[in-house]
Amino acid sequence: MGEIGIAIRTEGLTKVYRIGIRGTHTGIGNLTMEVPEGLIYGLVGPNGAGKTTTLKLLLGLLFPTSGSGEVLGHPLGSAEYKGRIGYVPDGPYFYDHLNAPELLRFYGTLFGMKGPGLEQRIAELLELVGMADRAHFRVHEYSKGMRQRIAVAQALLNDPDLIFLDEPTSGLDPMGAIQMRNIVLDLRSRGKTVFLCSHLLKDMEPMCDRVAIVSRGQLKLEGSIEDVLKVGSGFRVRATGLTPETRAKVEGATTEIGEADDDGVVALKTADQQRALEIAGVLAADGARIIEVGPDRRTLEEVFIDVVEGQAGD
Amino acid sequence: METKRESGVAARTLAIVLILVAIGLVALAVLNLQGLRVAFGAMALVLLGIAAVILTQPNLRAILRVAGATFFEARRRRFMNVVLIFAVILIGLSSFFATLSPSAELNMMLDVGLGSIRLCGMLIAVFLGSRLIADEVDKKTVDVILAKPVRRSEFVIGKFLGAWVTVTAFLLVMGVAFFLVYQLKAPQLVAKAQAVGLSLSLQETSMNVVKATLLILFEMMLLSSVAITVSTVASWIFSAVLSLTVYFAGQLASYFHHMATFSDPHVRMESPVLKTFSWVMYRLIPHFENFDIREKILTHDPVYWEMIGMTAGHGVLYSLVLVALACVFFSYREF
Repeated sequence: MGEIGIAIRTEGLTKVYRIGIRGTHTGIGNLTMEVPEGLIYGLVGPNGAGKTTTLKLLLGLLFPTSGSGEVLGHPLGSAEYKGRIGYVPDGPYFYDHLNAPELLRFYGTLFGMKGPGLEQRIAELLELVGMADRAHFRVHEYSKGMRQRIAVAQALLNDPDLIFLDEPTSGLDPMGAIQMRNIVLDLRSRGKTVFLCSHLLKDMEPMCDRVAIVSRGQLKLEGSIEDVLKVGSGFRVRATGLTPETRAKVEGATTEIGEADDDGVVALKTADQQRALEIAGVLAADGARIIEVGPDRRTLEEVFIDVVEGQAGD
Repeated sequence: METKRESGVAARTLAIVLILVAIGLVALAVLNLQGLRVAFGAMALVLLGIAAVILTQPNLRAILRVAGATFFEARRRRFMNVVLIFAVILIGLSSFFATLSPSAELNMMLDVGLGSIRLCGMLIAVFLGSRLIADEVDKKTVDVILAKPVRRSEFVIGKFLGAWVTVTAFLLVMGVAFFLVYQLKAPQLVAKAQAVGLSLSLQETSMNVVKATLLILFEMMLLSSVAITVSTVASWIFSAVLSLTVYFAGQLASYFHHMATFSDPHVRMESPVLKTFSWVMYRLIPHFENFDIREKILTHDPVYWEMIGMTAGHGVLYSLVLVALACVFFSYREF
C-alpha cells in the first residue's frame, strides 16, 4: 500500500490586513496544518473566522504576510498546481451574458481543453449538477442555487485532484444540498481531496474525514472527525418526554443526565452499551420517545460552540 | 528529460542574448542615433517582448480566451452602444451644414465628423478601459479565473487585447459611418470648390480621412491602455478621471515642451520648479495632440505616411510599456 501524500501543507501561514493607516487585522494567524490526499477536509468557523482568507491564500489570490505553504507539492500561488485543482467560490459570479455551455467552454479552454472532449465533459457536468434542461439560460437569469450548481460544474471541468469549496451548500434547496453532498462523497470515493469551508455544521459533520475549527483568525482544534467528536468510551441515550419519575428510575444507571434542550431532548450518559439499551427500554416503557442510542459522541455543533466560546482547544 | 533540460537552457540563453541586444538598442535610442530614437526603441521593445515570451512561455490560448470574453462582454455594455449611436447621429449631422461655402462646408463636415469619432472614441476608451479589470475584481469573476492555470500577466494581456479589439470595432463602425456620409457629400462639395477655383483633390482628402481615422484608432488604443493600467491599482472612477486628465494634458504636450525649454533673458518668470514640472510632463505623458491631424487636413497641409507611422509607433510603444507596467502592478494585487 502506497504512502498517503499531503495535498496541502501550511507552516505558520499568516495574513494580516492593513486597516487604514495604522490599523491591522489578522485574517489568519500562524496556521500550520496538513491535509492528507484522498480525504474530505472541513475548515469550519464562524463568519469572519478566517476561512475564506485561508482559502484565498491557498489559491494564490492573497499573499501571506508570513509563513509558507504548498498545494499539491507546489508553492502557494504558482500556476503549476492550478491545472489540478477546482474552486467553488462563496456566492459565485460569472459573466452574465453567457449561458451554461458557453461559460463552461470558456473555463474549459483556460485548462487547455478543446474539441469533442470538452463538449462531452460539459454535457456530463450539466447532467451531474442538474442543469442540462436549463443549459440555454443566461447567467443573469440564474437563481442563486443555479449559480451554485454551475460553479460546481466549472470546478469539476478538469477532473481535479483537489477541489476547494467555499460554503458549497449556500443557496441550495434541500435536494440541491443532497446532490452536492453526493458529489463530494463521490469525489472522495474516486481518490480526490476535498477542502470544504463552511459554517453550516450539520452539512459538514456527515461528510468530513478531518476538521479544523478556526475562530478569530486562529486554528483552535484540528483532527479526525472521530477524535474531534468523541468525548469518551461511553454511550448515551437521547430521548424526549421524560417525566420526573422516569428520570428518578434511571438515575442510578447513568453517569450523567443533561438538561432538556430547546426541543425537549435530554441526553443520558452511561458507561456501556448494555446499560444504555436497558435505560432506553425503561424510558420507552414509561412513554418517553427515544431519539438515539449510541456512542457518546458530541455533535460538531456542540464542539464548535465549546471551541468558539473558548472552552476547548485553547 | 535531458533533451528537455538542454532545450530549456538554449531558450534561456537565447532570451539573455535578446535582452542584451535590446539594452544596446535602448542605448542607441537614448543617444537618438541618426534621429531613429523611435525605431531603436521599437526594436528593443520587440526583442524584449520575444525574450519575455521565451522566458515565461505564456498560455496564448488563455490570453485569447480572456480577450474574447472581454470583447463579447464589452460589446453588450449599454453605455458603449449609447455612445456609438450618439456618434453615428453626430456623424450623420455633419453633412447638414449646407448654408456655408463649399470649402467651409467640406471642412465643417470633416471637422465635425472626425471630431465626433474622436470624442466618442475617447469616451469608449476611457470608460471601457477603466471598468474592465475593476468590474472583474468587484464582481469577483477574477477569483475563478485566477484559480485556474492562468497567470495574472496572461489575464492582464488578455484584457488589453480585448479592449483594443473592442475599441477598434467601435471605431471601425464610426469610421465606416463617416466614410459613407463623406462619400455621399464630398464629391459634390469638392466639385463646387473646384468650380470656384479652389485646388482640392477628392482622392487626397479621402486618403487624409483614412489617415486621420487610423490615428484616432491608435490614439484610443493608447488611451484605453492608460485607463486599464491605472485601474489595476485604483478604482474605476479614479482611473477614468486620471485617464481623462492624462488625455487632456497630452493635448498640451507642445505647450509643456515650450515651458520646459523657454528661455528669455527679458522675461523674469523662469521658475525652475515650473520648468522641471513641464519637462517631466512632456517626457512622461503620451503626446495625444500628435494624433489629431484635423488641423493639417483642414488647412490642406500634406499629411505624410511617415508622420502617421511615427505617431502610430509612438502609440504602440507607449501602449506596450503600459501593458508591462499593468502586468507588474496586477501581480501585487490581492483579491
